[in-house]
Amino acid sequence: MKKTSRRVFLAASVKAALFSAYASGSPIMSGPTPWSNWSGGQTCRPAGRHDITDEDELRKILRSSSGQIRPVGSSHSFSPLVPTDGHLIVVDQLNQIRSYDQKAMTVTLGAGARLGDLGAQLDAIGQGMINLPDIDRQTIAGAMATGTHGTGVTLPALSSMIVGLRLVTPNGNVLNIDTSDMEMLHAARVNVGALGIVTEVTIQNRESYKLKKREWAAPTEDILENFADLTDNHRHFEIFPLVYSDYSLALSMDETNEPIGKTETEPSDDASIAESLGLTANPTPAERRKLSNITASRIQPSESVDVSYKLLSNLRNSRFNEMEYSVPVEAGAECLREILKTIYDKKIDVVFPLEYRYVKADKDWLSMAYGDHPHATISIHRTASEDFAPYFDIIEPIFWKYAGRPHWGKIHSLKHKELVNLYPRYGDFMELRKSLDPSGRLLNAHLRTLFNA
Amino acid sequence: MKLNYSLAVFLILLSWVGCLSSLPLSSASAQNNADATTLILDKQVMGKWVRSCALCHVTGEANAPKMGDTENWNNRLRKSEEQIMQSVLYGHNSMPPLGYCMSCEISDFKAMISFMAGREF
Repeated sequence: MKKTSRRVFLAASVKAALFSAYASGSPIMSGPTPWSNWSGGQTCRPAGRHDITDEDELRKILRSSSGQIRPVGSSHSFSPLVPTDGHLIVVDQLNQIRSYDQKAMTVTLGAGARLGDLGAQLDAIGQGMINLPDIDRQTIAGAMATGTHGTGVTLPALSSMIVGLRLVTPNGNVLNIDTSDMEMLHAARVNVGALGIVTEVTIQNRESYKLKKREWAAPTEDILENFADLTDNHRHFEIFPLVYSDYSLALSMDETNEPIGKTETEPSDDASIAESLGLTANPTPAERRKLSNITASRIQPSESVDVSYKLLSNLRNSRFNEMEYSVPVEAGAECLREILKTIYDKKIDVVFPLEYRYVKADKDWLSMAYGDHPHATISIHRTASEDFAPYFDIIEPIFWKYAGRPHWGKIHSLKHKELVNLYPRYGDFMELRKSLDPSGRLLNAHLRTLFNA
Repeated sequence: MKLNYSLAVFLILLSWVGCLSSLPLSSASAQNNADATTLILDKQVMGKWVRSCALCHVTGEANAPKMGDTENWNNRLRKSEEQIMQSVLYGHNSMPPLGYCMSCEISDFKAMISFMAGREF
């Protein structure tokens, strides 16, 4: 009898299994509609979706049902905050501006409003958000709940701009939380969807404004030496340190009254540049550094002026996964250097630049910038089609050395035991969570590891 | 030689990715086809479409096939239903999973594709 190798046998078994699945109906087309986050790194098959139209409908659903529920916004979190085999609560339809106050410069809107849709609407009434994150497809409730932030040592995370919110607890009760109870507001802003479902928020804005953005490249060490001055001198300042390079791409933004426009750049010789980059197979780290330095040194500074919301956020069409930690600013540069050196020494095959910026301290219990002093935040990225784990697993312990706190919406592996030592109010948050959701309806597997529940 | 900032970033990324051959091709320009079948979405599904798919499929953002560009849609609909739903549910090129519609069921996506393509799907 003809012998079959183990490999051939396994391949045949896989084919047989696939045929069996196909013959019995496509796994994709049968059963509950799957859910996936933006990067594709997190997936699940929820039993159902509640596409709520208002707060009353949500309360009725919560009071008449049991089982696990998870709120979902635009699914931009890279961490497994959403996956559930229970029901998703979708807040997409709660996306309208409900009222605004021109004297106080506040606006009250549905929790499902997406940041990217708000800019023009706010500008039309003479308001602008104080800051925005790099990506603006998130819902306002999701950005707040995960402690999402922008750039600027004088500018706190978006959660700090929320001056009021309505929270529907798992038993269907409504908590109206505002600045009259700052302790509760600090607790409820960065909530990782573990306290209830937020249906409405009030944002503290300011008058509409224009920004002047300047982009350039410079040696990373030169920038790090002057980082404190640069952050003090600009409303926004951040860098994107290039891997396998001595250079960073720098970006500053400041308020301006100059007319809207941007600098014209000279046409570039694309073929010559590509050639100079040496698209050879498997370049050594030294070769990569040399070529990257040549390219970076040729970057021409550019400037643009526009309404704030058009410059603060970017459209990211290439999907990726991300890890981000905050560390005390005093440790930021050293942490960044160690990450860059580790990538170089271990020849990690990564192309994305890092992102290094400052964020103002705040008092929200689970904020990654909680405390009295600003924090430096460092991000690493991996293309969505690649397995992020090998890269992130090497870098993550470096963050821990510098007392890093993870961004809740991004990849991290910390659990309750470590987190309770990083966030001074973590225990208070856990107690509050338990009092509002004693049966743990809002806890999926990930949240159970965060809260030891 | 001076480099445009964005171009330089793009080239630096590309140089190590080696993905020049996999860059998305430009989509055909949108064409209005007077013969296209008129398909109507019910109010609820239309609301979902406006809040998600329409964001890119009306303007052609990120090479998304425009609504009414029947030639472009016909080319894409040559794939099997499962291949198309795989792209919709888990993302394809720049299109995010579920096209940002977290409340959509598979039946909603099928209706929306028919609506945009101007033909039954």
